[in-house]
Amino acid sequence: MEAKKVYLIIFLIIVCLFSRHALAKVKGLCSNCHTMHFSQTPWPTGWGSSGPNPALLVNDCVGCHSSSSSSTYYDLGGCEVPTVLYTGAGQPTSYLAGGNFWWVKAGLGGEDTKGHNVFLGEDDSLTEAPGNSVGSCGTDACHINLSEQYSGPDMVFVLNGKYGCQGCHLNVKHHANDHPNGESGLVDSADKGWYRFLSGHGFTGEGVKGYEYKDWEAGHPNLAPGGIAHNEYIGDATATGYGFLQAGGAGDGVTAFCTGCHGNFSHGGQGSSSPWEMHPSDAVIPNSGEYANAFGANGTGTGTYDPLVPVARTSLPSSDPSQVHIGTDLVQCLSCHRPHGSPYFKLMRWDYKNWPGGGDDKCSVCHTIKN
Amino acid sequence: MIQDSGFRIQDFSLIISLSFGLLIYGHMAMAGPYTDSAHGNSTYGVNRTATAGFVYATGNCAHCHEQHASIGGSEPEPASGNASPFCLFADNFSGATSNPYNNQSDDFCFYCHCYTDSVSLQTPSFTNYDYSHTFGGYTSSTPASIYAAFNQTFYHNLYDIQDFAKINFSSFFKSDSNPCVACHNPHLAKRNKEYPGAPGYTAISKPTAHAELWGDSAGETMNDYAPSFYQAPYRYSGGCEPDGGTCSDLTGQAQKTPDYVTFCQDCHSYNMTGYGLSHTPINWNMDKHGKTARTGTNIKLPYDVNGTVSNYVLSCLDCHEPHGALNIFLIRPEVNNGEVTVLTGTGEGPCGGGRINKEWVYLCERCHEGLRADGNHPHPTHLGCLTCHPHGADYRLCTDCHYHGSNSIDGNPYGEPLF
Repeated sequence: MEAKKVYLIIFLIIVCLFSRHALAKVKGLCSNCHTMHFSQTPWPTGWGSSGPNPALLVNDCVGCHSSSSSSTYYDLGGCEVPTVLYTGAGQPTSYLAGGNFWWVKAGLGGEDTKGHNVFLGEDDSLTEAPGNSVGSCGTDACHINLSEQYSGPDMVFVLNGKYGCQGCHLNVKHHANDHPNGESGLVDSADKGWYRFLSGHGFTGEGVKGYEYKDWEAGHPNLAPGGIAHNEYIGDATATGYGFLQAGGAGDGVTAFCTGCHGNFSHGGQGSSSPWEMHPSDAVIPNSGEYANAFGANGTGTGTYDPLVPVARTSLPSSDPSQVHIGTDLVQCLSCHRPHGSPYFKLMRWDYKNWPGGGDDKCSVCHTIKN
Repeated sequence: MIQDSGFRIQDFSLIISLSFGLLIYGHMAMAGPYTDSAHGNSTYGVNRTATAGFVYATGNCAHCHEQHASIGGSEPEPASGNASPFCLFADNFSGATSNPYNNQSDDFCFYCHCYTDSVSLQTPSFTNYDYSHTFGGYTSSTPASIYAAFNQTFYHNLYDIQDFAKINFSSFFKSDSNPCVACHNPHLAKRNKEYPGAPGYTAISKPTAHAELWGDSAGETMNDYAPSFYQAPYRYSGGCEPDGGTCSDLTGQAQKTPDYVTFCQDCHSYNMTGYGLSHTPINWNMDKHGKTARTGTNIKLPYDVNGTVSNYVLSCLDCHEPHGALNIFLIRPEVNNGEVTVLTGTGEGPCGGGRINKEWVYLCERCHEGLRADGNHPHPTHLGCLTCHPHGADYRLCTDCHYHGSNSIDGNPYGEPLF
């Protein structure tokens, strides 16, 4: 009996010692997300209707990351869960920096040109990823579309049968040791799960590095410029290729990840400055000409960070997240696009298509005389 | 107290008026240089038919620039197959060393600036008449597009322009830049053709000041170049150039005309003999048609030798078309309210009579008296008739002696400028 007490005390000490790790990443009760037998009666509200699911989950990706509240996250039993799909009738007024799938989801926005349609069998807009430079992984490969189940080789991360969210978030690690749920932190390694679980195939050993802001930029897209409440991205202007490794790779930021599928839009395809052949991504915003006035810098070299037009940094953490350093910081894919979905044509972060006359001219944040 | 109330009512009215004014014109104050330009205007700006299919707004960048060499993974017409410099939907220039420019792909601008001379990508298609038509009021002038203008017998050679600009204006002009961009900033250029008397709508930018328009600001008109010395020529349809305004308002018309001399001199003050321009560099200070004092009296109206102006200074575009012409040296088809035909310089000219080399009279007599056989020849007597009219031989070309920078005859100094 005494021995049992000793073991219990030792167990409790161990739990207490490692409790910080237990609080990192997701937090709250295991039953928020997992079920042992997928057999509850009555069936809990909010659980998925199909299953059982891998990892004993109560729902699929979108199921858990959906909310009828228009916000960047919602509370699930004490755990803050980012909302990627708003399920309300009208379009969301607040959404993640990466956007929301509301605009593409059939029965909601239902417009495939406004986002990546990750819902099974729904994408009927494109036959392959624009700028696809892979081309040979089969018609159901993630490089072709995200709405068909992949039937090819597992590519280390057991991708067979996967589609949708897992087409990009290849190796989701909700229990990775990154930073506490609800707090900010730099995510820059495989152990931490990579930024937003965005990684290359397992054989690359590479993934996206970035700084995750604690509340998923709550209030976005209505955050005022000049604040610090935003994610931070990294870019690499010296890169020469696409993806993480191909033709020299495109660095270790979001641009590298995007160009894994949209390879021709990368350093390898966009040409070089003077003149660019495509709009550059991961290129330094020059501190000259009209760009010297970018982000309101007015030639001072320092502008005001605008969450609607996020720049990438050459290293993280940045010295002052409220500023843009002209001549150092970079334009990136995310400067113009929201990967999940946006209210605007081609996943744009602002209403580019209807400008001028209407719409919005955020292009002139950098192209300051093109307004 | 009553007075005070009245004052408040007036004050209130003023506020209301100002408020309405802001509401009505506020967007103009907010507009930037691009949206003020011809290409960026939301009503009549760029509107590529294929791109408009995606419902891009008129004036939107996407009508000319495909940021990823495609839209939605495919390429709207014209599909060149490759990404093009400056993210344009096609290459700027084919490298054609001479005209005819048989294909719109020879110059990116031709895709839209072709009216019905080819298939314009712009909806709706539109005209760009030459200077004589637009500012000279000579509506018989036929080229209705830039494409057609450059496909005339004589033209500003696009290859040469590109080559020259690459060498001399490399601060903004790149190896893949469009030759047209040497003189026009497509993000600033306005529709001067719609407002010929308003240089604020100028379409040109000096190569040495590409980031701004030329002619729209103080110090950039012909009146600034030659204060009280620039007399705009007659306009074919009445009045004086550029808009048919009152000819006696010398200063007013001069203020409506961009300083084309300074503009053209950005290039033509260089020695351009390598480009076949043997009479360069041009120094307008040293020519009589420029700032050097006149010596003769045989000038026609509106130039008035008996008037108060002691010397007249011409604008380059008083005689030359900027893009192209049927006349040699890009001489305008209409000058000072008269038609001009100088196809070779060697023709009979307006006098006929079977003798050749008199064609330049068409041009010169637009402003000078006495150039015909029965005229009072203005040449000084010491030259002698045979200098130009040798027995048993053809007349000498006017341009043997009269050309930019000339001050000698057959190598013998004349003692004063001959042009």
